[in-house]
Amino acid sequence: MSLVKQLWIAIIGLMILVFFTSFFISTYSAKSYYIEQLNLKNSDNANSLALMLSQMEKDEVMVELLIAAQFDTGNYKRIELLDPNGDERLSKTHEVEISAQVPQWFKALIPLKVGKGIAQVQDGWQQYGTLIVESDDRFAYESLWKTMLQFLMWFFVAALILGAIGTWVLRILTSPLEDVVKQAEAIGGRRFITSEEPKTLEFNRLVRAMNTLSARVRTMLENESRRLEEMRYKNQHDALTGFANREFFVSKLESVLANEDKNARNAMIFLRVANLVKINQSLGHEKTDALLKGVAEKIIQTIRQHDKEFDESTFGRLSGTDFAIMLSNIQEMDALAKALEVFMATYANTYKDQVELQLPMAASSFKANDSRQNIFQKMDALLVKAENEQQTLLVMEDKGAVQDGLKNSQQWRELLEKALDASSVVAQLFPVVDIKNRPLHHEAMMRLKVEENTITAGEFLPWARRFDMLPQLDMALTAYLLEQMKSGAIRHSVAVNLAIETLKNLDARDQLIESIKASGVADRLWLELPERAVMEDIGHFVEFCELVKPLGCKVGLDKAGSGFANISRLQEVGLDYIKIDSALIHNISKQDQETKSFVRGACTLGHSIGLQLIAEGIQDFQEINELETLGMDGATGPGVQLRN
Amino acid sequence: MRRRLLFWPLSLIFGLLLLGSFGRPTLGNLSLDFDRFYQTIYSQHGEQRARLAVTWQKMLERTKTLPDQQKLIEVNNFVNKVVYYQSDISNNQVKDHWASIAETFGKGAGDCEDYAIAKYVTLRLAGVDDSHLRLIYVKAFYGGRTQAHLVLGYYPTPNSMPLILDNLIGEVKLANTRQDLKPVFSFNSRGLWAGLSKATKSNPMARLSRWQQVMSKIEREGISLR
Repeated sequence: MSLVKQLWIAIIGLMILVFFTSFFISTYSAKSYYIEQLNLKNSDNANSLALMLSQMEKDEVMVELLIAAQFDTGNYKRIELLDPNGDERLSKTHEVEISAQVPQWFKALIPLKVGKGIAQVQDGWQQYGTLIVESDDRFAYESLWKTMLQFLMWFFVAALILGAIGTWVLRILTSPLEDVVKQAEAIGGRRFITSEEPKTLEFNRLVRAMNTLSARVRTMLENESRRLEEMRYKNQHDALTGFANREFFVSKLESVLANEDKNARNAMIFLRVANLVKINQSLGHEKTDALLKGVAEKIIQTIRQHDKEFDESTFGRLSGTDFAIMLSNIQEMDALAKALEVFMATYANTYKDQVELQLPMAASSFKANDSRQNIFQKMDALLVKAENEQQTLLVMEDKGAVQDGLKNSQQWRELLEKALDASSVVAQLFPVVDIKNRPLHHEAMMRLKVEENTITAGEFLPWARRFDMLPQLDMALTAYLLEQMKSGAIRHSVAVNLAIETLKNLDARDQLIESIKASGVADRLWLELPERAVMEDIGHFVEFCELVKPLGCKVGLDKAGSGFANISRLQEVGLDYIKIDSALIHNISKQDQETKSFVRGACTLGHSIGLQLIAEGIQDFQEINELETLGMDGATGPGVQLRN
Repeated sequence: MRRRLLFWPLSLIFGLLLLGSFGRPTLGNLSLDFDRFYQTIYSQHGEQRARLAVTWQKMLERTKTLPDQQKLIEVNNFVNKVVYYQSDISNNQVKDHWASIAETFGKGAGDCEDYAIAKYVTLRLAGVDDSHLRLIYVKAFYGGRTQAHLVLGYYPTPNSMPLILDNLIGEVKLANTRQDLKPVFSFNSRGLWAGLSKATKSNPMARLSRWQQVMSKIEREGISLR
């Protein structure tokens, strides 16, 4: 029961109590007053009438007239004259009807016991009779009844006023409580937010305590996630350059190869520092390290300048001399390769006075249907070719094949615009299951249906990114899915991948949110963004979460793993799930102990802030048992097949 | 044996409670709390005057068994003998003061209504029914002038001529032989207590007639005529 209701009950109860007490006190005093007054009136009038009758001639007619006159002009119930023997000599009675305004129960409740006025009438020395006078007590009842009604009304009014004031005061008093409750609920949902301390002492203490708790939990989470991240980083990266070590790079490659989208084009670039032993000998260990660091920095710099042309980049140090760059979903790599060649040559040139630095490079494209061995063999062969040239240059395999053989940039733009106009943006659904193989949701992958052909995201997304068309595509896909869900064509929950560009485009974002709100199926919609993109632009993501969470949508991150140090910063927005990158999950049963303990740590940390953890890219469903022991909640990937 | 010992005080308490409830003054109940009456006179007027109360009580005991006519004579004589006539102004510095019987005995003096009240109360206590008694306002011719006077009348039957008890003439005489008195109005205690609750009586703000006042005072002094 709400406080306000309890207050009303208390006030009404109290008022009833007060009403009855004061009503009985006032009625009791009024009643004894009336009785006294009526007694006096009876007695006085009886005596004065008897005195008058005693003085006059005892003429029957005169006696009757006198009594009748008294009776008719005053308020009497009865005037009676008895003879000395007590028999009736004369009687005037007036059956008083209790006025309809006074109910019988009230009369029974408060009886007025008024004594009769009795006086003796003399006839000379002899007794003439006894006079009995009874007054009409109706007015007293009416007056008492009216008083009670007034009392009742005033108490009713007073109760209403008191209740209204009480409600108002209570609302003011408990308004800080709302925030307290919100915070408590947030903590219940494992979102450790802090809130402003209210002025009311008790609430203040409560909120301060909860804030302390929140802050402590947050510090704990931050420490834990930092520790995890450090562990992961150390395990997966080269200490000198910060590039992925061989094992991790291979995992990343495997995860790209495990991609559902077999048509997506990816690029691989190898770079070798030739004669490293010689360089080491002439420059010394420290200077050689600086040189290698410089190479890594130059690589990152160059690739960053072209980051619109691919989805994701992975930098690896495969051995002491070999660097590798993997770019996923690349559309064309000519310009990038050219730039890299020039930058590296420039860098090598800076060492020309000290040492002969040669940086041969090899570049090739590959698709997900290729195999790791194949790619590595091809790359090694190309690199050897480049090395033989004895200078810093890049050897690229089949230039033309990297570029799309069918369409150039203009054709792609037209195709995408046409697709958006004709609403030919559709989705292919892939099941995501929990650890017991029950469906959690289906992940929607964007496809374009153009003239009987289905174009996969890997093919058109790089172009769409270049043309800034990702927001429109995201909106089109979401609209398509909401329509399908509303019509019943899709009965289960659906996860949609959104691009961070969509969140940055405020018009597109608001339009998207409106359509979700209008659809009525928001509770079946899971929205996810790549962790890397979110970590680079947390502000937009937090804002987006605040808007969509109240609609009932679930929000999550996919391709997660490398941004774990920042995950605790996201707990306040009420993140629902994260999908762990397949690079971490790939062949989990064969992974080293460090990777496993990272995954286990990520699960523990995620659970502590109420996240669901889903493994991406599992190849073999048997691996789900291993994932369960690590604490994962669900899985997706080629190995997941829904049982019907 | 033991059980009876236990039973004894219990029955005593129960009996006392029973007595207590019966002993309370109720309507039509005559009672004299002589100790209280005695104490009232003793505390205000001293032992010598209080001795009068003892004489009065003895007289009362003696007359209780006598017929009404004898009672009248005994009481009339007693009161006329022990009370000296004194007008209210010289007695109480108040005009027309109605004194209770304890006051009248205490002072040993009173005026006509004090005589009448004392006789009325004494006769009631001696067992004369209220319906026979009337206090009667009369116009008296005395010493060559008329004056307002109060006497006590006794009606053997409702319709008969009353016997008059008076302080002017010591003898109890039939009213029609008293040529010096002319009746004006009579009253007795009937109707006095009706409707008059204890609360009203003890309420100092309640307006009471002089007759009611003196009867209340008498009651407080140990004599209940209800």
